[in-house]
Amino acid sequence: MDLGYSIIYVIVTFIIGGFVALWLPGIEKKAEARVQQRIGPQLSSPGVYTTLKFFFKHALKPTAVMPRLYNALPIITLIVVAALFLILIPPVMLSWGPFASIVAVVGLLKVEEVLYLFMSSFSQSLMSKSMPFPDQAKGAKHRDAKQSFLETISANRSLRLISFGSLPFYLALFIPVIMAGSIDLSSIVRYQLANGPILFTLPGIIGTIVFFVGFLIILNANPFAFMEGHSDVIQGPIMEYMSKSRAVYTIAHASLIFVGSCLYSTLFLGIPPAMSVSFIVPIVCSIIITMAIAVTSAFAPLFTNREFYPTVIATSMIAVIGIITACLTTIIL
Amino acid sequence: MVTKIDGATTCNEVERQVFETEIDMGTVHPAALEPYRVRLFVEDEIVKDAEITVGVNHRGIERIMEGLPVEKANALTEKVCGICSNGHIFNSCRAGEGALGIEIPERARYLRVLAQELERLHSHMLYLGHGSEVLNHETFAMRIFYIRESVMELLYMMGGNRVQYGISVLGGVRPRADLNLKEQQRILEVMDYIDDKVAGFAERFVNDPMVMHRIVGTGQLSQKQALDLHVTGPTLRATGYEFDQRTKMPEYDDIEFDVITQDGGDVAANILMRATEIFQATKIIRQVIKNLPDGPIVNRDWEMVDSPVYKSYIEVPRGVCYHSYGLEDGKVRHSIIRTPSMSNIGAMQESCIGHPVQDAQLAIVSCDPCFTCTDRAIQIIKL
Amino acid sequence: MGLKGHSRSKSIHVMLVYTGGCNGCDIEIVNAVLSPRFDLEQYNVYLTWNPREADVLVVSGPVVHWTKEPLLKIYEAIPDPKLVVAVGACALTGGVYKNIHGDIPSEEIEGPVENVIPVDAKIPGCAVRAKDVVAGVASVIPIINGLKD
Repeated sequence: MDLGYSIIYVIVTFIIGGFVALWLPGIEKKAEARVQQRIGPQLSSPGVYTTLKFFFKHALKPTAVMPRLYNALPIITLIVVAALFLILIPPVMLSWGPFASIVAVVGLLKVEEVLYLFMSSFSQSLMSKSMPFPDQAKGAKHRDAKQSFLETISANRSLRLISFGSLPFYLALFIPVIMAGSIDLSSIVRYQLANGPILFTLPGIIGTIVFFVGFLIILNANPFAFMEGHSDVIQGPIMEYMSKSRAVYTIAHASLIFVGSCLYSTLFLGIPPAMSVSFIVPIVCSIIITMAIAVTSAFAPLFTNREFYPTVIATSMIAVIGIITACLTTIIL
Repeated sequence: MVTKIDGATTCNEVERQVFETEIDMGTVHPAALEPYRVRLFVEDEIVKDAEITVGVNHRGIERIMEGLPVEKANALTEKVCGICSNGHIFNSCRAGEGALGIEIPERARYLRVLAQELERLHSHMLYLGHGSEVLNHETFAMRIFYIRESVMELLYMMGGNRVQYGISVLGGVRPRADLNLKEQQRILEVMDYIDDKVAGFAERFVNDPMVMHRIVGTGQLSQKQALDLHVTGPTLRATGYEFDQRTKMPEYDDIEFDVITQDGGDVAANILMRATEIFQATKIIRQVIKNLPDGPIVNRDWEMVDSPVYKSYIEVPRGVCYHSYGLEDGKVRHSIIRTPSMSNIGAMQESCIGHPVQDAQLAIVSCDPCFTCTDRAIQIIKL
Repeated sequence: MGLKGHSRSKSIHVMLVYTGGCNGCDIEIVNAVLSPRFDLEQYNVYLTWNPREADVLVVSGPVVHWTKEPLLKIYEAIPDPKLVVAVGACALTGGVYKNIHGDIPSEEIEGPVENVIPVDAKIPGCAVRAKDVVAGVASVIPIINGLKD
């Protein structure tokens, strides 16, 4: 394959991927609405039109520590997600060799998580400390306490997510690695072409469950949405994004759902997002995962620490069991 | 970090802890919906102390009531609160009637009880919906709002408006609020519907392990604390203390109902408390419809006279509500309104201590705050 | 109207600011969004609590003295183009708190909302009905479609 063909291949895949990704928020909202027995918005509205609308809005200066860096963070998120998608595309996967490995996937997702920490520590929204209030001293019990923004809670929580919250997801990624005996994405795909999808083995099923729970944590979807849970921190890290940067954030978040689904179909089904008929499989995967996320978030309350720690520990244990079964399977076979 | 600050002149030596961070929520906040501010003193996301500051929504209702004729003042009391509006107009009519010595017809008394219980239904359902919303469980919130809509339609049928229905007037009830047989039948049908649906809802709520894990043990308030803080209403009954002002009201004399109590005083007990009270309210409504006497609904035979201060206590959905009127030639010269949320602020502050920030909001909501009613004076609560 | 207007009218984020009053309108508005019976989301209207995300500011209440400043700040925080919808009798006229009084008028009311921020649409009612909220917001959609920058 020559370079020009590869570049066109990658660009076309990106266009298809981006197009699909923008419809996913709509599918999520619609599925949630149907669970709640209402009509819900149009499929195109939450993804496509919301993004367009935000692009056409005028920007104000965000009240953040470093406004320009703060505004640049969604772009970095988008780049990270795009890089993640890039290494899943077959020509890139084959030619970039060692970079297109599970270690790169973990690293890029980690960067994506850290960006949330930056966002929440930069943002200083109007809704908490700087909201004008008549009488600060009225009945003050603790005069010396330092007032802080709501986003500081979000920053604490995102640290917690970085340090151990996303552990189950990363453990789940290593089940296919053990099955295939290689960290290269291309070898994992090749292994599955030879032996059938990992999903249909016992470790694959365990891995799928853990992958889904971990993916919910990575996405800050409802049961684990405490970083942007609206009952206390309103929107947390993304409070101060407006107009274009919010549009970029919307795209980045939607693409993360899509790229995560592509990752799943690559690792557990052995079908990467290639520019052929088989692209249908990652797309169907992403739609199923989006609907599953919507249903889960419709039927679950927000988790606090009391529920979050046990969930993470339990899913990690399941993931470890999955890894052990994967090891045993490889030894036996 | 514990530092001692001299209590100086006013009080004894106070040991005052200094906490690192203060998180402010409000005055515009999705969990609150009302303008008030919660100041949470937080260490590592655990709430160590909390303070609720009201006073933002002060409209001076009691002051603008001064000099108004008592009928007009009654209409103004309804605007104290959009959730328990009937409780306020009912109580102020009661106070006015007591002050002027008006006898009200038997049918009007029953219709007032009916409106009051319908209001309790919609208020408790609003509580359940708001609680689910703060739990971030939108599906439960939607479901209960859907059921609540049937009660809103009944209120619309009765008073002609969905929120400020104004059933009571001085001397009885408005002619609009009289019920014919068809309307009575419809109310009974809706009561069956509510019993059925709320029972289903409560069963699903209690059997949801994730929801129950979040609410059991959260926002605990012991019975002693509750009594010390002068908590009223369902929040007090949820700690196991049996007190209901309705047992002392002559309106409820020939109506049978149980005073529900729950043990624990946590969010789960509070929610179950409201859910079970819904069934008591439907029971009362059925009895009212069954025993509804015939006759006039308003007594016009009275005069404006001077009167000393007359006090009236009733049980509104959130607890005991107090109104007092002092009239001079039929004009209001003195009026005080004390709403249940005023008494419950202490409970809200106490119950969110020791929990993460999310649970703190939940604990506040579980005491069923209605700060729109409350904004008129500041009371200092000492433990 | 082109892509700009079309996309604006297909996705409307509404922020609710409650500036005093009796809470009745507020609950009815939330009811209009949250209850499956009314479901504002079917018109692609979403309730948000973040002024940076909002397009339409829904104001209820007579603007009590201490809520004036937060209202102004939130209004300024919303990026252009934006609309303000005043909901309920209090927001339109100051309501009973401003207009009915005995010996002394209330000095706490700064409203109606028009005195504080420019208002584009008004939904009357005391308290406003959820149906009216849905109808009012649906009537705002063409205005949003034709908004100039």
